[in-house]
Amino acid sequence: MSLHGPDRINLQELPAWFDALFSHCTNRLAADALHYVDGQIANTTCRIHASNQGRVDFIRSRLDVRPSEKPVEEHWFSLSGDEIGWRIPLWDDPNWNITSFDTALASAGYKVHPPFFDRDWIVQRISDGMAIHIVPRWDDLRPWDGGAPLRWIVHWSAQRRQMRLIHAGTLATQGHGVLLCGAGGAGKSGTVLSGLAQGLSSVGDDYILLDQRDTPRAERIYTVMKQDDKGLARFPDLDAKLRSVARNWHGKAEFDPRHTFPGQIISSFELVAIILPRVAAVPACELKPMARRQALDTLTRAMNAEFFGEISQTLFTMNRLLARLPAYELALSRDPADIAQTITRLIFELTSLDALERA
Amino acid sequence: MRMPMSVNQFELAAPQCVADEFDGEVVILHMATGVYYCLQGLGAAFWRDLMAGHALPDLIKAVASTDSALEEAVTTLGQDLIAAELLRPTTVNMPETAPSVLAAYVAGDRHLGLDSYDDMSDLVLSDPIHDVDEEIGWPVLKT
Repeated sequence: MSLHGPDRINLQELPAWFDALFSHCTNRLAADALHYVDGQIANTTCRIHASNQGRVDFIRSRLDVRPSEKPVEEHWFSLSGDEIGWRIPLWDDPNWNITSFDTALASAGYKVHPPFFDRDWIVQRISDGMAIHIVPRWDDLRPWDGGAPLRWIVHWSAQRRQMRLIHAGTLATQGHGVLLCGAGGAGKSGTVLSGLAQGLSSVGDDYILLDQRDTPRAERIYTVMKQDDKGLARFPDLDAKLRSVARNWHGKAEFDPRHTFPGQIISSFELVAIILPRVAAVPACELKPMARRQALDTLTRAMNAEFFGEISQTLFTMNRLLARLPAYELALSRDPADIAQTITRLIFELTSLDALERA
Repeated sequence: MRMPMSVNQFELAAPQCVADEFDGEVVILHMATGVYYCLQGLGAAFWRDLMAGHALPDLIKAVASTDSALEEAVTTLGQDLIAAELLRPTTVNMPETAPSVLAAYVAGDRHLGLDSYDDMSDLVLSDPIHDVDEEIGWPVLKT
């Protein structure tokens, strides 16, 4: 099959290519030529289209798509160029910089993921939130895409509603809980697993939705958790269940925690603190208040690693969060029960304090 | 940056600077230097008034005539905002409402300093074309 479109593209040509791509998708949408699923994601009723049913099923298995009776507000597309007859151009603009890239495309009506990866385009039409992620073939998706498909599109959609996707783990009890933040390897996922194994709740351990429109809340957005073999060894029951699960690109088992911890994966909760865990192997967990500026630096760096190109929004979001929530550094022990108890105690202390202040 | 004496009104020096206000605190990020600045209390009110179109000399005079002990601090704040290149001259209609610095003063806010932080400048200034290691990913800077 001959493919439509240019092989290479620069900043000047990009808006016209996006115009044509969005027009093509709109026509296919009208002709009902794509597979799709409807539902509510990040407080948006959206229709997720893909160029094959398998991709729709995969996305539905990873994203928390909730039933919705409301009309579709946004259309999101996950496409393989070869399946729709489109050649996906290579970025060919050696003198680009991120500021002029963002500015030029925004003035043309698009928000676009910076072209860091070859022939991999993620773009949102600003006027109506319609968004497309397209690669030449499914094999060209980045290896980490499977853990959180459409994450930039979800993130941009959330931003339209004064929310944002953040990279954090979560633990809660009785409707209140904490964010677990930090760079990869800090111990976020292991801490979440420790809490879940001891009966706490969570909305996720990787990407979650942060809603700061009122009292800060964490909301579930993805339905997958990840853990490597070393981490799983601390949880023998879970390790046994996941032994046959294929490992992802990072050597981690991916699983749906709703099946592994039934009833403990909740939709949302009110945040009372931010915890920055650190793998320390100390005899007992050590929890210490963290200075706001130090926490801001750590949080901004960790978030920027996941949503690069948005440094000012990231800094401001984290600063707002730290203006309302205390931050703590948690030196982790090896004992899951100790970790869970330390966090539970903190949540109860802060919730009681808050209740006293409100009274 | 030196401004002619005739320049009285200022606006945020966008797009090289971006600002956010929350819970009484103003944060301004200078994208070209990577430094971010914070204003609180009276300083945040002073910034709000500047952004609303109040003339800088009028604001300095308003604060100084209310409390002469603050004259030096408020003059320094105006100079610091200009020196940090967070402002650029503009001409807009003068607002009809009174500046909020006076209400902030009455409320007890006295903090007028422009706090600056450069601890994240490496992150802000990193160049995605040349600094990103394609094998490792963003934002691991090449050494």
